[in-house]
Amino acid sequence: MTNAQSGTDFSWTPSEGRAPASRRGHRTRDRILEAAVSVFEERGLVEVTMQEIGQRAGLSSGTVYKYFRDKADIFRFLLTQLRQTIRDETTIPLDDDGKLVVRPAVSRFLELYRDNVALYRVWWESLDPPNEFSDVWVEVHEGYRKGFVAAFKRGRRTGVTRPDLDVDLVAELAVLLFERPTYSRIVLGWDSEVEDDQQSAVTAALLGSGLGATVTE
Amino acid sequence: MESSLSPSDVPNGNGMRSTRQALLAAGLATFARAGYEGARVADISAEAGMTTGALYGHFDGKEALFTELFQLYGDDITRVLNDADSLEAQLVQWIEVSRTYSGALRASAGILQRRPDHAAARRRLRETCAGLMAWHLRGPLTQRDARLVARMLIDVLDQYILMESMGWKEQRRAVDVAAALHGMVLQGVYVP
Repeated sequence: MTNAQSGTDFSWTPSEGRAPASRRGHRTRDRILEAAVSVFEERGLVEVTMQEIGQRAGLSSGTVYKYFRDKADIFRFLLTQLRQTIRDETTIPLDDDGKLVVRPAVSRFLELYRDNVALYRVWWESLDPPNEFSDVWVEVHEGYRKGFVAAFKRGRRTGVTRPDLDVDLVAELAVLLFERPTYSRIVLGWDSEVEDDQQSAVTAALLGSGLGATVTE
Repeated sequence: MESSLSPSDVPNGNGMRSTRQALLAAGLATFARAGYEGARVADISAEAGMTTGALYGHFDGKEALFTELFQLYGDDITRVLNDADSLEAQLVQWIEVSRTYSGALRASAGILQRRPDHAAARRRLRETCAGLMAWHLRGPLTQRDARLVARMLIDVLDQYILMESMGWKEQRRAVDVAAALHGMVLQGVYVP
């Protein structure tokens, strides 16, 4: 949502002797990754075995082990890619007044979730107990949060941010407003009757000028 | 806040009731510390100062104990949402009750994607709560929109509480969190 991410050391590097040595090797590795995504989407990380991934790819588990140490190693590879995509693509532009342009950002966020639903499923599933993957999740979340803090503070200098806004708290809630309803809809499959436009509209209202007069107290 | 770890279906008198309650409280504490997978029956029994046999005397196992905790959470949260007389009061109550049950919520998050029966229960509770919150969001908002806003507020708070319970966020006062969220609903973040 902004580019304020501060990096950790998390990234995938092939362990000793496991880097593809040829173009054919690269193709085989891609086949493994594709198969892994499809079994992850169906069954998550915990239940899946290397053998199943091999079967799906039409390869022996021996071949799979040639490229990846274990299933977590495969997910580590995929998450390294996803994190880069998130860094490149989840920015929220500011308009001429310095206010966040929220609606297209929500659409892009939904698209990212849909394109990577298997990985998001596994990622959320892997948050507890805390581990290297939840560390990346927290890091990405923090990156988003800092971006919102910067945007609200900038808006305060130009006089558009509400003066009474609890910037730190609202920035936190703003990230959650993007993340969790999207998780509910895309990963859990809830609210199937809700349309993207409706979710975008509510998000934009809460990160815009509110629902104001429409709320009865 | 008054804790309602007092199941009404307790079979035998006060001795049973307190044992059962102690086990539920121990379950809550153990789940809060270790999550669902990390909490073994032996850990929960030890937390209660009892044997695993004592636990099995009251519950079929970890799953049954968790299911009862989640049921109690659902009962409490719907009660307070019913009683609160404004959206902001509902948000405060939501946070406070959820903090009391943060162990059950951490456990719930851990199994949500793998246990369709629990996901269904959690979704039902979310719908019930969204209906109770939408009541305070009605007006020019259509019923459908009010319900969507309510669901999204619930989602935000669910994740907020989870992040606290994972130790990823320091706890802020419930009234401050509720006021910030309520302010977003009412006024957004920018001056009109």
